[in-house]
Amino acid sequence: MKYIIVSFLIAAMGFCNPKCDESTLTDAFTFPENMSDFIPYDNEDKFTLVHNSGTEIQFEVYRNSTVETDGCDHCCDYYTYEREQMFIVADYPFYDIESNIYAREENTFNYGIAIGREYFSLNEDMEMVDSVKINNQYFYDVLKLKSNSYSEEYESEIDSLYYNYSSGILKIIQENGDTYEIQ
Amino acid sequence: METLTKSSRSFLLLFLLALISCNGAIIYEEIDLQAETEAWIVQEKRNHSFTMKDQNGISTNWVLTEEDNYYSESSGSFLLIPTHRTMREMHYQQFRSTVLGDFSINADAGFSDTNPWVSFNMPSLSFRFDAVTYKPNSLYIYSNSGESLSWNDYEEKELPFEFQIMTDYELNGQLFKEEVAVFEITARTGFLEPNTIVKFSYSKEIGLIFLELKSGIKYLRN
Repeated sequence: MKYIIVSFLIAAMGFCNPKCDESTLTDAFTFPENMSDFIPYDNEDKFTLVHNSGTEIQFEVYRNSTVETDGCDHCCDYYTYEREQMFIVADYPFYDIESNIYAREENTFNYGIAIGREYFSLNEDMEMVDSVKINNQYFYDVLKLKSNSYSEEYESEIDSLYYNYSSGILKIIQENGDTYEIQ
Repeated sequence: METLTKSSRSFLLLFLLALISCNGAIIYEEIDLQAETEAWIVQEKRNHSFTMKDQNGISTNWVLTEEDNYYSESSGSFLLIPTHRTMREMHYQQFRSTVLGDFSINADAGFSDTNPWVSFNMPSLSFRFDAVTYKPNSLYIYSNSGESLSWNDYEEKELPFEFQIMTDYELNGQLFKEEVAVFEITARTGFLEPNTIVKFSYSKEIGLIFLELKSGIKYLRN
């Protein structure tokens, strides 16, 4: 019995020991210097979208800049990456909107916007429309985005999102034909 | 004294043995949902959707995301020995709106000494009523700030809400022949967030037909 207990204690000590003496930072992904050119909103910025019925909905943006740590399970290597979050809150019942930008290799980044259940990915290779007239204003270099989300359970509710890096959300077209346009 | 202790032990042992021997005769109850109670659950399949429109012309979509008809088990014991098992039937439906959250209804067969009941759950609000007498059983409302308000039928407190089951209920020009559950919070609601549901109407025929938020925004089913 003694041997069993001693063996158990030795094994338990083995589990408790760290698997490596020190953690090693293998990479630190940072945003490119011109990252601010791609972020249309400052913290506490406000903007208005107008529904096709004429109802105006006010939005406020809350930004959160962090450096996150990640790595694989059970190994000592880890890496860090810069992250920029934008929470866009409406003063009216509306979809939750959250934008996330993650720094990746060689000063590249992943950029996405979640609106309700839909997720829109942005990347530098996307084709931009030179100019679009929305609510009697011209906007340039506009991305017309389709949702990347797919679910057999839910029908998509948002047909497309118009977005550019200087003004942010320009237009949301719902599947039912309703539109929200920037004021 | 020793004789007495021995006899006490023997008695206890015999008593436990008697209980264990009865184990094979645990009282078993299966309580099925009555048709009238289950009628509150609309006859729709998963992924069924409908829209509601507010007074400003803005629509929100609802999808039936969960549908479950099952038996819930509960049991009782005496001196750690099981004495009874109750299986009561439930029928549950959950509708999800990406804008307003989840709205669910549960029809519960109840226990042998209670009536069946129907409960509604939505963000910040739970409400239950007796499916036979149509009397309210309980209410619980709460806010993100941690404040809450609760009411139970055994409490001698003033009702913080109004609840009625109506027939031939007319809403926006549409007549609902079958029963409609009409609920409205009437107590202090200062602590609730603007998007909290404070009034709803639910029809036996098609389900949710009306919602009102604390902010005053009203939704009517299309």
